[in-house]
Amino acid sequence: MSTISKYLLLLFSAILQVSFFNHISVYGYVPNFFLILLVALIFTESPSQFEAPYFAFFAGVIWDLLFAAKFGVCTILFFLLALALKRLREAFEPGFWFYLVFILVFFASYFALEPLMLGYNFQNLFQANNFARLGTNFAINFFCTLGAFIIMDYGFGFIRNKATF
Amino acid sequence: MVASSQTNKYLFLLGIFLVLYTFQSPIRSAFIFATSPLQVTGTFLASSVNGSLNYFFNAGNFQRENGILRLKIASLEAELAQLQEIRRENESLREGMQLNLQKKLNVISAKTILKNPQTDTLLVNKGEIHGVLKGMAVITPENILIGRVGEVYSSYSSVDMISNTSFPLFNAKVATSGLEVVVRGKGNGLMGLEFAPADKAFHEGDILVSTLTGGIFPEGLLVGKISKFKKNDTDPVPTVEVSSDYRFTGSDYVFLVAPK
Repeated sequence: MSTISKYLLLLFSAILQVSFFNHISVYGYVPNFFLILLVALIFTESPSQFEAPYFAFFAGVIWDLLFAAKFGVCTILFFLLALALKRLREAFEPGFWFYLVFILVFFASYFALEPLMLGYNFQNLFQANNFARLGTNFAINFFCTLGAFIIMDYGFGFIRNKATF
Repeated sequence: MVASSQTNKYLFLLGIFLVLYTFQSPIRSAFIFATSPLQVTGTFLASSVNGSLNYFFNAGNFQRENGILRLKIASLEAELAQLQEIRRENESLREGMQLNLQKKLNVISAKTILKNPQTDTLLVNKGEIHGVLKGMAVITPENILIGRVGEVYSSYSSVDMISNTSFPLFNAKVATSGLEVVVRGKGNGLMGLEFAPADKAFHEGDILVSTLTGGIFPEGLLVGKISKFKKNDTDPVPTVEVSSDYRFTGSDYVFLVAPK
């Protein structure tokens, strides 16, 4: 797939996520296909290139513009996480558990910062239903991404190193 | 050489970020404008898919619902006959008092573009250039209260719905008893009553309307219906849940209202 197609795919998936997928929910909880696609894209890029941080930056900008009430949080978060992933993959050859922890960190930090993106104040944040919603969305997206990762890894062989699974 | 190339990449991204951050309002407005046809199509498709799924899953209940609705229609027809008489009386009184709500309000009509169900916010296709102001009340043509304008962009505005968890507490009253209550958004189209008096009885189906107290909304707009009422002897405050009557269908006409 060409690089420009990947950028267009990210843009298209973000638009679909805020419109189509946002209304196809299970009891109000929506898997975020845009974030899952972003994780898949940055995993499949070679660590020797700077493409993954560019994808993450672009995705952050789109998500900040389309979804977040405050601009900047997603852009910085996605870029830093993709950059950290690139640096770590340059330093050693990671296996399954590394990717698992990365997915966990990615979604934990995203959903921890979501109240900031949406402009919640402290009173709103500590309402029980907000915590429950964030926690459930985190769990749904984590397991969806994990499923996608396992399909990518074993079904299509996108991730080269599978030794430690 | 490699380090310099890396620095250039970081500086390039930092530059883009600063430009976007500084001009976020017009850039967001232009981005929404450019992507809105796709978003509207996506939302419309989602409504169709949801509608089909609901039809499929609820097919078994149709006969029972049909019976209930027939009874309701009969009761409403009787009520309508009484209300028509009251309406005539009301109109003559209004004329007598020279009250005209439309003349006192600044009304802008708009269409909804999309709804974010996670945050209970809407986007409407009117903005600063159309005279939209932050804080304007947003209602449907049927006088159902949706929320108020949050952010205003040049040609778009976001609307914080009354069920939004970040929405400030506001006053409403129970239409039948006139009891004033305080409403708080709970997300997913639901609201709850704060500090609901324990000694007062609420009933499922009771209608809440807005009041002038607090100065957030005009008076008499439909806030929602009480959908759940639970009272325990041990709990000093009863649990009262209110569901909004507004259902987002993709592209609805709404009015943005502010006092002149």
